[in-house]
Amino acid sequence: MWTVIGVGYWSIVRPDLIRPTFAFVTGVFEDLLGGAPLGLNALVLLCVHTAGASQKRLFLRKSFFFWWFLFSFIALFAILFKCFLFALLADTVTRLREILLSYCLTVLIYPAFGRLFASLEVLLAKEE
Amino acid sequence: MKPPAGHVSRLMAFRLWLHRFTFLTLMMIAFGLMVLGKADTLLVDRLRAGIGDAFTPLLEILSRPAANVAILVENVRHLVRLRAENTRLHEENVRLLHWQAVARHLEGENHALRSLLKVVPGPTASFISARVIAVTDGPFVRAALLNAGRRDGVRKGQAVVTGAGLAGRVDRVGSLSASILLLTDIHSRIPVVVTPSRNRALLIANKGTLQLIYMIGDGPIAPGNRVFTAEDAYAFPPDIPVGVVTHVKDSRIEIQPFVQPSTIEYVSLVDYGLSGILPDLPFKREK
Repeated sequence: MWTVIGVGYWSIVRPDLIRPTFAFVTGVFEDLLGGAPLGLNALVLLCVHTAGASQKRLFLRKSFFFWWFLFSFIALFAILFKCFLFALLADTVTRLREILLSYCLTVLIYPAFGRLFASLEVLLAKEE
Repeated sequence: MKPPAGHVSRLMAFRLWLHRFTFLTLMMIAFGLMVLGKADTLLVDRLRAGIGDAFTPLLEILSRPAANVAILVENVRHLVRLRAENTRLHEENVRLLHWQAVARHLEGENHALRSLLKVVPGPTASFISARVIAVTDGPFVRAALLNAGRRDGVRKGQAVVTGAGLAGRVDRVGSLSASILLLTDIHSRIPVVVTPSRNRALLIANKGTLQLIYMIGDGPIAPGNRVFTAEDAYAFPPDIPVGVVTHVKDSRIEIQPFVQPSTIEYVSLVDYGLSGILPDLPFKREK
């Protein structure tokens, strides 16, 4: 779910830098390296990118807590979609407690990554 | 010079269409990859092994700071409970000295009986030690990547053990890296034997817990019974510790593994020369 944070953030802030193709390729690499069914994370990250980029207006000029709040919905969508696809591909249902744990961890660590990415964004803006 | 307004809107419309088209194309490719992953597992396995090999040097560098942080945290934890640990070790030492005497006596007796019965010794195992450079321990996949591959003698199906017991088995082998399927992955199937009843069963991971299925034998199973690998189907060397029975209710028997996959750093790959796990088929088939 680390990649969901990155793709989710940058698809809103700089969709010109993180293209759908980039999100897709990241997902394919995650699948190949992590051992997940091929195409699973690719499709999830692609949808996260599309959701983030299309809802850009909703996020702009809002407080950090609002970002966090909205990200929790994107992460929820991502993990539920992943569960659905995984159930189809691996013929098994994942344990709810583990899904919840993974989701909560992703949402809880978001502020740390969000701050880091915000600083990086300022640096990028200065460079340009 | 500014382009006419009509051109701008057409350009925007084209870009929007291109964006949508990209999304649809990528989505279709993703579904295609899913079908490919199901239909041609050999090709996908080769691809995974190749990617694993390519990323091994990078992951090896990245894993070192993470391992150092883990060691630091563990050291601090040890310092905190040093006194209690010391007392426990003293007690354990007394107990182990007693068992050492028992083991020496049994070893002598065993040797004498073996020579009396002319027992043919079992195959000797060879070990390959490797470092874990990446662990995927999420709700969907439980696997780890090792920094040893085919050129180091790693083969598909080898048992992966730590000092505590069985961690999993080698699933895919690249030239420089190998992927292991951890015990706790939903695709893991390990033939085991429960002691002292000697009942045989298959150990599977079901919704986050390890369970025994297809039990053979009528012996009683109780919490605290130990589970070891069984030589059934020549898949694993026998008697590698796997875990302990924690819960027995009706036909549901739960096991607590000795090895916690998320904490493994170094592993040994045991090769008894067994042929139970089928090797990958040759990639280029003969015409």
